[in-house]
Amino acid sequence: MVSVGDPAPDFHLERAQAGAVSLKDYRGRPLLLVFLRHPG
Amino acid sequence: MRDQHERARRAGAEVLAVSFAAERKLVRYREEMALPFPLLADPDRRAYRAYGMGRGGVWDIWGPSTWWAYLRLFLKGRRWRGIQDDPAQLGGDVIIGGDGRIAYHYRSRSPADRPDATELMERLEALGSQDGEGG
Repeated sequence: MVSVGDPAPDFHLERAQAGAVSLKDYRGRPLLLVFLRHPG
Repeated sequence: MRDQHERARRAGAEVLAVSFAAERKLVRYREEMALPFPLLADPDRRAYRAYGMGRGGVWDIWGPSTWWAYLRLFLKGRRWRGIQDDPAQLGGDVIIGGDGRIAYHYRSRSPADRPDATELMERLEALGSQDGEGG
């Protein structure tokens, strides 16, 4: 389980019709990752 | 989430939403909702697992808070989309600092459970000013 202070796990995910992105694309600025749940 | 996105951008932060739905569904969803931030497809849930997002039991998923969340969406004019893919998959919110480390981690206990939006934005703004000072 990841915790505050840990290095963020890398990811490589497809954007909706816009190509893939990785965590490194956002290095140097804060990033909010929202993991959606089913009521959207 | 649109208002939060605008405030996050002003703080120099980026917002990405991750869904476990397939990419083709996300294209339609993003168009319908006119979302201003990128929507990422994680159908095999690797990122969900890597970031410690859990799965709920029956009561977590279909308890009163979930029905209340659906009712609020309905009252806002959102149409019923049916059960989406995997109702047991829970979500959460993670803030990653410019140094690549986790600065905040919130794991939802039910589909309707979300962290306080004001607290999230204040944390992002604090990080944004730190990163700005650090060059």
